[in-house]
Amino acid sequence: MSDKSDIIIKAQGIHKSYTLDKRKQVVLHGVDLEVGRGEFLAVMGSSGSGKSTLLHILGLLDKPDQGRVDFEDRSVFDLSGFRQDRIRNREIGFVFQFYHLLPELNVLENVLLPMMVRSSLLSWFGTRRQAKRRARELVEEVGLGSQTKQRPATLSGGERQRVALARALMADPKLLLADEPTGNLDSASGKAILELLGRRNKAGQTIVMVTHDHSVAALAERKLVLQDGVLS
Amino acid sequence: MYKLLLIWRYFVAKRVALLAVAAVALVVMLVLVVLSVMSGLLENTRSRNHRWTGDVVLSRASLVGFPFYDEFIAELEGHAEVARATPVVKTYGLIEQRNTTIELYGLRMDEFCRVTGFRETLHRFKDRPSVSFMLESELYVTLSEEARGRGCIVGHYMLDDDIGDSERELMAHYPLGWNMTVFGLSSQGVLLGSDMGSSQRFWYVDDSDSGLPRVDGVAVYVDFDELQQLCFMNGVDGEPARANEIRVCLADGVDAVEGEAVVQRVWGDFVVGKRELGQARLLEDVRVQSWQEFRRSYIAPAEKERNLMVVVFCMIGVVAVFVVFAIFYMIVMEKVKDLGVIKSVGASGWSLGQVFLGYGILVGLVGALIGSSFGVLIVRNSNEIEAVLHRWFGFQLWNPAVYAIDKIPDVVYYGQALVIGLAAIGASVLGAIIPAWRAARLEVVESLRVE
Repeated sequence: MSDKSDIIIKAQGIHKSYTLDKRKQVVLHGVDLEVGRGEFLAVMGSSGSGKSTLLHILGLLDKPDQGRVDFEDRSVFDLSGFRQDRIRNREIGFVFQFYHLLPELNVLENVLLPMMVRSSLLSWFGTRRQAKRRARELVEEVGLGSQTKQRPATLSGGERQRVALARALMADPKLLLADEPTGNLDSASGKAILELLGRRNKAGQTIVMVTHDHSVAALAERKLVLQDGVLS
Repeated sequence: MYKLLLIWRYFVAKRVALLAVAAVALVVMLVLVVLSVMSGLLENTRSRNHRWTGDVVLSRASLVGFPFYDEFIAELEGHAEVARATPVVKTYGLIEQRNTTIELYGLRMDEFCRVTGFRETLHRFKDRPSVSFMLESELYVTLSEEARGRGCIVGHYMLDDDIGDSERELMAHYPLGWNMTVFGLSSQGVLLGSDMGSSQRFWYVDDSDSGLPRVDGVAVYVDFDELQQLCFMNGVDGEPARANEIRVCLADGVDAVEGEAVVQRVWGDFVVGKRELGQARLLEDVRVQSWQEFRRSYIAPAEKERNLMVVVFCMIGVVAVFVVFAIFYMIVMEKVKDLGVIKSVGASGWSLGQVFLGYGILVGLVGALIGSSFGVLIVRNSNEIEAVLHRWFGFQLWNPAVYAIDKIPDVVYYGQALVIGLAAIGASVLGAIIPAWRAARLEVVESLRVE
């Protein structure tokens, strides 16, 4: 990790605390982290250890109380909200434990969401064919090619997570963040998701995954443990 | 692009949104119907009053009237702004076998028909080349020559039965005449003639339907000279003859305000010229008024009613805004997690706010279209609907005597409809502003944590 250009994201001195019932709870206490390009990193820790909070900060979904995050040498929290939205849309993909698909949209539309968010009405008409082709490829890749028109409510948990993964990959992000991606799935579905993540990583995708499950973390090439608010 | 898709999907998937549409549609329909009817009522009232009155009126509050009217008319008609003018004798009287007071108008019929739109209101004479109080019908051959000059035109609602167009139908009502009694006044305001008043029998020649039931229920029109004589206003007391009003028709293309000012100025000069004469005092309080001012007491209630209705329905509009707000707020609260997800893939808070503003526009647009369509349908068929209700349930929704015109106005003012529709869309957007603002300010992490 010494070569600066190989580091895609770097967090330094991240502090984060929440106030719960008027009591301040420190979640992250000076976390330092570097993720190399093409790396598959697993962050482990017990429930409530702050894994998801760290992932949210890395994914620009939350702000640290203190500390700095550099994405490709840019201090992201010094950027404008518009620039941060742009990074979230084009350079980072997120997979949530509870899938978070939009129930009003079908499978294909959910996958297309990042591209639609990026496009104005006019630009959409210029790019939609290409975007749809890519979305179909991704849906095929996650094994749901015959279910593009279905609504999330008609899918199983594993299928929904595969749609969520396809959505996260839609913008061809430089960094994929996965928050307990198998935490809500049966073992077969979980295995399928992990295989997909593994395949993607072999193709060069940088992945940071948080999990409390050692067997899931075993897939990653590097593991860190978050304990007492610091990584070790 | 996602905004349009989400707006549409939320619109078709959320049944609760249909409640917002229904609320907007109902308010639009109500406002359109009420405003169209009230505007139609006002417009009809105004145009019918204008037709019956002429453009400008000179009058005194006192029944004594004022002299030198013909002299003034001759002078007035010398001005290019004035097309023509005619004097009117007006008094109150009694009619036999009825308990109501009547208003008698003494007219120079041909002149009056050219100054006002009175001819259009006539039943039998409407399309005839000349209008006269002479009894030309063979029905009246038994009357003396003098009596045959005493025809009268009565207000439509004074007749017990409709009289058809033909002589035969008129014959069926023969003899149709009434004794009318008036009280004559000297130029000093002293009663003249018998204490019992002066009576004369007048014979029906036609009836007038001005569309103003308050006029048509009490007005009787007779020959100017006959009524002037009956009221002792024809100079019998040694003073100049008097009239109560002068009705003026302005020349084509003359602005009403400008025309009124001209009449006002000419009258002022005329009064100055008569200052030294004995009856000049009767000229001093003659008012020159536009037809709107002259008929103000009849037009103002309709205007006030319409304005009141606008205020009432604006208040109902506030309720619709609140309904839209409540429904949209509910949707935002329900969709907090989804909005967080959309933010997580790079949507800005402002663009999420736009989703709900767009949603408001769509709800307003659809509500306005539905409401306007039903509103137009109801307004255009209001008289038929009223007739059906009358037939089925026996009650009269529209009483001509109350509303001053004889049928429900059924004209849609599309300019007003457009304004109402735009206001509905604006109101829906207003109702969506706070939910949109809430959506825009959502913290991604907080919203994703919502169970």
